[in-house]
Amino acid sequence: MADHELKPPPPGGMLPHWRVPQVLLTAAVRSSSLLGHDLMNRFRAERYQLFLSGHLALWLSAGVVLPLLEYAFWYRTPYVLLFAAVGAPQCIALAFGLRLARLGRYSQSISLVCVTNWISAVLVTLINPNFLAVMALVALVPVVFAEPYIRWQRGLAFTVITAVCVLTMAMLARFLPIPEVVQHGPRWLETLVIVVGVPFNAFHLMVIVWNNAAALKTSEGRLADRAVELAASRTRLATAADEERRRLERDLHDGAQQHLVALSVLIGLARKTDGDRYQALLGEASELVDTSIAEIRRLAHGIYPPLLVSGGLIEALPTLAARAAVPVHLDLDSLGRYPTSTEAALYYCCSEALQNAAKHGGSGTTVTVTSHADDKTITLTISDTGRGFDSATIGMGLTNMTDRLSAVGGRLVIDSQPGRGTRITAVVDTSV
Amino acid sequence: MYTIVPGKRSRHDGTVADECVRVWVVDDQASFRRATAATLDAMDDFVMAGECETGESAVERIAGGGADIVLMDIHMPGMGGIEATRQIHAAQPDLIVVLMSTYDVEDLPAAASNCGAAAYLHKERLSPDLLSRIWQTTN
Repeated sequence: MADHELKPPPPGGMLPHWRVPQVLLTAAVRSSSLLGHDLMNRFRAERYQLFLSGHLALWLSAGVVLPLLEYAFWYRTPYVLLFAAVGAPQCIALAFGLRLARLGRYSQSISLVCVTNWISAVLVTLINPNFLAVMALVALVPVVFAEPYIRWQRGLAFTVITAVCVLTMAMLARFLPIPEVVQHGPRWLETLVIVVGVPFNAFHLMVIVWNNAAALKTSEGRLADRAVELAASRTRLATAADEERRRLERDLHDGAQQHLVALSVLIGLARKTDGDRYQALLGEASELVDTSIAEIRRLAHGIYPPLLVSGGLIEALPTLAARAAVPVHLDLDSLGRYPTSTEAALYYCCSEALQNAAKHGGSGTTVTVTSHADDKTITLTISDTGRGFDSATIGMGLTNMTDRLSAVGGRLVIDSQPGRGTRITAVVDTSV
Repeated sequence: MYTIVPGKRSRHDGTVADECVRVWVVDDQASFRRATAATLDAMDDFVMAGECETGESAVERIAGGGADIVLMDIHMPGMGGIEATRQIHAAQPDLIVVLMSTYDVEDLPAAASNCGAAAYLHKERLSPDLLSRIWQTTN
């Protein structure tokens, strides 16, 4: 097929060979698909387990398998098995740490790994002081990795312990005589362990450090974005509150107050009149009083619905639905009482959505309001059969709804397309 | 009560004094227009000459004459009472325009005092006595 031929070559094919190490390094340090760039969000799972599995593999290969191979093929002396005697418990500790991590107990897990790693590193240096450099680096690895998982007091203690541990190892290497049995062992194997172990661990340490820094940078960026969004949302909320007060002033001034003013004029006239005119003026005045009362009742209800205070959403929403200008089908399930701000936010979302449906939905629009609540969240869905709109062009009302919900720890999902109705879903976390 | 806006002295030629004073009311609130009609109804020498709901229609309809006093609400949708007064005053300097609202004098925009209005009236103070007094004072 023609489009197969048009396909561009895979990007990997364009990479010059000399750039491969650079790309790999960048991937490891900054944007590895395994570790991800949003490390802060994934710290608690993949990253930790990846590290611990790698560390376990390292100890298993260099601390258990290698000594056993040495014993089997190159240097059959019980001394070699001492390494495996240290490596095996360390592997068991790491496996246990991995299990703790799966249970989400990261702080305990990393502490266990750090402590056993220090002990093992000291013991290995004790067995063969020539491995000081490798073991000093190995002693640092879990501590450097631990930083995001533990409280800073413990981090401080770990730092001091690590320093003491490395000092102990240095002293052991400096003052203990190299055992005879070590001197007669295969030197090439020792050299191999040092030549591979030192750069590998140094590199590993740097990867961890840069990875932490990259994660921090990413989360900083996200925090900055969030701060900007919060500031904008706060401004919008303040504007909306001002707008609301202005509307209230206008409603009071143009509505109830005007009726009362006219009433005052009519009563003033009536006081100086008698006979039929008096009755007519009183009749007119009485009408105005009724209108004013209805007006004030409507206004007060708009400010805060009384049923929402006394009975919560389960009682206030049916009234709201009954007053709506479009037919509303309610399916409210297991709604309880929630903090006032949450109930108000959800109520006004529903109110706004019903108004939008009535205003923009077109003739024949019907609305269905469903709710679902469990221990953690309330979900309120308002769907209409109206005209719908392009969800990229949401108006002020919907923006206000989004802000209002996010202020109570909720979020709003708007799903609409021209000709396919609108579904607005408000979800609020009630567990906090 | 009411305030005479400084700088305004209307000159009437006196001919209308012998007849009924023709009053126009401009207000977007029907309830107040009804109350004004009832007030004028109770007066022998004042008569309702016409009413309208916006400043724009007032400018257009009052321009043809036929009014001695215009009771003009300040806050209306569109042009508003102050601008309407300015235009009516420019066209007919002798016509008495009384600005009205429910706000205190301090809450009125500065333009209210120099738009050519003869007086400011709190709406709730409207009464036959007051209308007569305004007419006599400005006459």
